[in-house]
Amino acid sequence: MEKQEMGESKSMAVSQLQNDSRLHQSALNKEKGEIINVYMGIDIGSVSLKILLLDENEEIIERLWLRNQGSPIESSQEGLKKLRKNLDDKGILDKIRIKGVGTTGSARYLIKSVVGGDIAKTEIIAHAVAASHYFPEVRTILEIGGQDSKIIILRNGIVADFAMNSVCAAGTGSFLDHQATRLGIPIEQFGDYALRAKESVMIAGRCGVFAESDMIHKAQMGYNKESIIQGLCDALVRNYLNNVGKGKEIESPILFQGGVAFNQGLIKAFEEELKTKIHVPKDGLNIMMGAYGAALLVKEEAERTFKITREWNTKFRGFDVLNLDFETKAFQCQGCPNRCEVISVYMHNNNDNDENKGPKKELVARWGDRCGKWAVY
Amino acid sequence: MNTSNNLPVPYSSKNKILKVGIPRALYFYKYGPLWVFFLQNLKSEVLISAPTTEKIVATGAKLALSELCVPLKIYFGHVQALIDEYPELDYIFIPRYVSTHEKQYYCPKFLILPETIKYGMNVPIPILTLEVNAKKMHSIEGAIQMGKILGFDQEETSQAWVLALQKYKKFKENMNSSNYIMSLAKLDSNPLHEIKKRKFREVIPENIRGKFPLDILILGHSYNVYESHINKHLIERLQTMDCNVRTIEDLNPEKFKKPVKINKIYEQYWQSEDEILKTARYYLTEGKSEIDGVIFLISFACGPDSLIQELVMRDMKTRKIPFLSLILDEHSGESGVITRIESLVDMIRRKKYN
Repeated sequence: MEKQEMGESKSMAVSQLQNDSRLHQSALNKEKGEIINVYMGIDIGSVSLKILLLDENEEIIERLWLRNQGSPIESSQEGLKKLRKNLDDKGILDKIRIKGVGTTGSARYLIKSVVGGDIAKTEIIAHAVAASHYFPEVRTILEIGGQDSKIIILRNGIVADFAMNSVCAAGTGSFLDHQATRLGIPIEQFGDYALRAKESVMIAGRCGVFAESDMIHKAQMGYNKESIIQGLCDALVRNYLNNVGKGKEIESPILFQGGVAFNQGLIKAFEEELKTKIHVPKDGLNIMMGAYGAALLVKEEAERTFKITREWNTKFRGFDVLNLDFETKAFQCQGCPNRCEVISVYMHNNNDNDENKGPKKELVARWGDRCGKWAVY
Repeated sequence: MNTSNNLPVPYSSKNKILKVGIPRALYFYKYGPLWVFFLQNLKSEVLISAPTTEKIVATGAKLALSELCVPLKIYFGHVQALIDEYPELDYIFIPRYVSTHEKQYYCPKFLILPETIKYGMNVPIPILTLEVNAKKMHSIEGAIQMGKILGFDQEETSQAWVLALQKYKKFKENMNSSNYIMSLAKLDSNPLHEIKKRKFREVIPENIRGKFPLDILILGHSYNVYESHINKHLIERLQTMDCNVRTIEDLNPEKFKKPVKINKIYEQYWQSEDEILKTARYYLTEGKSEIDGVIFLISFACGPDSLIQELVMRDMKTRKIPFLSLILDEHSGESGVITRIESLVDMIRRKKYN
């Protein structure tokens, strides 16, 4: 219950940021009746879904963030519905032509199949492309998201090295979320608490489980919440730099991306540890960087393809995708001792409804098998 | 006598062809053909365990101690798979590789492999051991000892060994990274064990397929590089991403002759690590222009690898060669591996062609 409220308050914060008029200037400046060609980037992670529209001049037309409720398929449909409404509210819906869709994040391939994406790229590449576009001088990207954290080293705008956290999700957004809930603090205020701390407490940050018991222990010793939260921020930064950042040449300018970059306490802890300024993309763009990158990448892909073949058609199903029902079915293949779990995604087209047979059913994706005999990509 | 788990020892005779099982794990990926040829020359019927499946991994993980490395855990699984599939076996072949070079050792797990299996699990079939220990004896002596157990005299066994070595040499000459897995699979005639060609997700858009190729070097032990189940089909996946794969096996044997010196103490100690270092040395120096990036496959809990990986990584960094180390264990999900290699390939491609 509490968690849901937090989710809503966060999306409210984000929608306030969306109302920043600067962002839509270029779209609104367009003359009436003129068609706006846009590229869509969708970043679907473990916790949230981000959609961003970019026009041909690489200006942001629209963006939205929503918490991933249930399945990525539902979330993406929910996201597109909201996007259509936002565009309609601005009166530009019928002028928008979506020229390409790029997906990124852990469910990138699923969403690419569902909405009809043109490319699916990894989070590393998407974040890097967005960062070097937003801040061309950037040399290091720190990214902490819902369930993963990564570091990307860029030299001259090109990825030179990267690392991702392994199976352990300690120190990522989900962990902070959980600790905030446990301490009864809204996650948005987590950073402010840390900044108010007069002293930092040593917290064991190697592992989320130990960190939690250590925090309880320190609270029972009598430390106040502020110091404990600051201590946690310090511990997470140490943990991040020792695990993900191990052996990497962290050089400034440094850009801090992902939802956790909202946390002022962590920014301060990073600045103290690395002894340099930490930049965070403005206007809440830090959480949109993946989607931003995906949109830039699909634009690049479209332009390159057009240059080679003089032709480019997006595979995007259009906003009609909202009239489609998607159904997933899983079964365990008995073909060999591997016993793979195979997932099929079916699409029901309600517009193409046969009276006798019901809606037309189409297999859009099937995977999960190791041998590939079921695979439909 | 060589290890025989106190079970009656079968002999080969004119009217009895012995059935010998080989687990498809560890150095099967390196010396497997040699063993098969040698045993065949000794008139045995060779049966090989099935390609690794999830069941084999799970069985191995259950049988083996939890702190062992993944390849060794899988070995346990393969021994069990042999016992289950071919209960009629006369022997299970478990070699003891101590050293093939006077100054070097193989990893301790190879030194005590027959005992590890004998005491680590219940093996109702006698274990047949071939000892390879260049510190103690010529390889032919180990072969003769093994031949004796099967009922062959010195001359017969020597001839069988020499012929097997010749055939193995020829076999290896025709093997490279792209046909390695299939060539090894051909040693197994069981149709149920056939390795089918797998379909992978096409990540390269059709109109540019084949136009922006990359050359990627995969470093690591043969039992990590060619064990597709554990490394999530790394070689084939890279090939679908328009990458030419190179491995230690592609390198001219000449390049392995000059020793690698790290310092006075650390000189040629672990034999397989030595091969990795020599390969890395070649691609850091004269072969630098032949590759665009390096992937180091490491099995979780491998001591020597963790050390060598760091050394190779530092050298690659000074030469500005993109480097990714992938640590594999029995729980590794496919998506983690895919995300990392897709990112690496995209990163290199954008750098090279943009």
